[in-house]
Amino acid sequence: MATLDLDWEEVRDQLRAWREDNTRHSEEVVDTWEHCLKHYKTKLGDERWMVEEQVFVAGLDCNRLDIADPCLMALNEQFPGSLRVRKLRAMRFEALEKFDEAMEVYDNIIRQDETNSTARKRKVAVLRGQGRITDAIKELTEYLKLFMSDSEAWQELCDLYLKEGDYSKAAFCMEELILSNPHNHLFHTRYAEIKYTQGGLDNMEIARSYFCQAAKLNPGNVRALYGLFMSCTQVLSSPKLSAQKKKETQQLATWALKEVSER
Amino acid sequence: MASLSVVKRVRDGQHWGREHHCCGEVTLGPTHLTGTSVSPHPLQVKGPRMSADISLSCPALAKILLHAARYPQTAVSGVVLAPARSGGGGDTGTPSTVTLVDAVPLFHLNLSLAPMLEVALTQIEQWYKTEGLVIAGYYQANENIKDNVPDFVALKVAEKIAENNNDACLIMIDNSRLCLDLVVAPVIVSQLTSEGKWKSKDRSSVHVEAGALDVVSQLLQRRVQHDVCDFDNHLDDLTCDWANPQINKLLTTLSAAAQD
Repeated sequence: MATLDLDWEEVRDQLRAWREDNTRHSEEVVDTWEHCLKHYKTKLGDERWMVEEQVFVAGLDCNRLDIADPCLMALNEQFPGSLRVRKLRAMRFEALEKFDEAMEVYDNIIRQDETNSTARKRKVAVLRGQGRITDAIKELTEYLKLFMSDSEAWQELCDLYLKEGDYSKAAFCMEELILSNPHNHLFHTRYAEIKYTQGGLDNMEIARSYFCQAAKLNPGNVRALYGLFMSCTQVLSSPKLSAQKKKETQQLATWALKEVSER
Repeated sequence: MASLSVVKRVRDGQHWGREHHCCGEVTLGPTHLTGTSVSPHPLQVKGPRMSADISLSCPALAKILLHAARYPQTAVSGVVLAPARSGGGGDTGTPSTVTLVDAVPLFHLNLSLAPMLEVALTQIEQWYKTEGLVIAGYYQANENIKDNVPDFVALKVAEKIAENNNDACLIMIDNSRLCLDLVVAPVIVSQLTSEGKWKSKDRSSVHVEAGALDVVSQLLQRRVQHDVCDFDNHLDDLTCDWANPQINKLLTTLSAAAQD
């Protein structure tokens, strides 16, 4: 990787973009920091601390404690006693698989600040990291009773239920998400996929209508188009369908397939 | 584009509705993925060749491990391909080796959802039929590094594949053994016994193509995993080819170079 040729300002902008999108590029963050931005950290101004935090988390992700530890020390010096930095210290425990210590720190943070949502969510992450999915689900449902508009949490809960194979509860989570974000085609698609997987004529018809909606919201959504085609085919194979509905469904299926092949 | 032409081909035949099968009948709907029991119920398998050895070719192993390495934070899944058996199923002749010649990475998001899985399996089956290959197994890497036990999704999909292919295998990636310098293939291969349970095979009956471990280690060190496309990537961007011909080409170049 020719990171030495990169302009430090470009790297800084790239890191900022990734921070804003909240996407995971841990390897690249660590690489660009190590080979380039580290030497210009004093030029970053106020942004330096967010970059240090970002590099710290990326370092933990890649098992590069040699990169992560100096960042943590710098942050600790700059913000002594900060709960945000304490959370990072707990994440370091998690990376070292010292889950009990991590949980203790999170509990401390919550005791000091009841409204701190990130510490509560990290607890769920710890449980998931240990493979204790049912405990993670319990913890997350408790969290959602307090912070019920947290979309990220509902998505995580849906994911956990899918891991357990509890499709009906996963569908419920998606319903909550659709209620609060009715224009998000991805939520409609995911909900339709869950309904399809549950099977049965009713669920299949629901799946078909949600795939339809997703395709309407975003005509480029290939999953929605394929899903529409599949759910139509499934509905068509049911014996209880009236002739007129059959014809409509068949038309829908043909249209969906045509849309996909045109892309 | 590969898969689009598959869709076109099938669309021309009006019997898509009936011929909507993948490895037989794929409707992976309610009774399959949402069965209440996690362990598989005994299947009536026609004479499974439990004694057949499995051989992993370099492309198959490479794609499996690169796919897992690309998404270290989530579970990944895919299928493996083998040449179609000419004699049909059920023959109890002398056991021979099943060579897994290639693999197709499928998903890294929501492995347990049926619709895209059905689309993928159908397309793959159609696409590779022309090359005389069939879907011969399913691989999965779990999310957690210490977890290499097949979950309900892996069991159900593998069962489905086994219904149409006696030699079907279930490959779980041994996450903790995946590293940059492979000494042993980090996979656990299982096949169905006559009682319908998945039993993992001895290391001695799982072979890896000579030199494959070195080649794959090299690829991992060079971070080639970022070039691997799975079906999820394809659904997000139709120009991504899930057959990954560029990986096959790279492997041919590397093994040619090694022979010089």
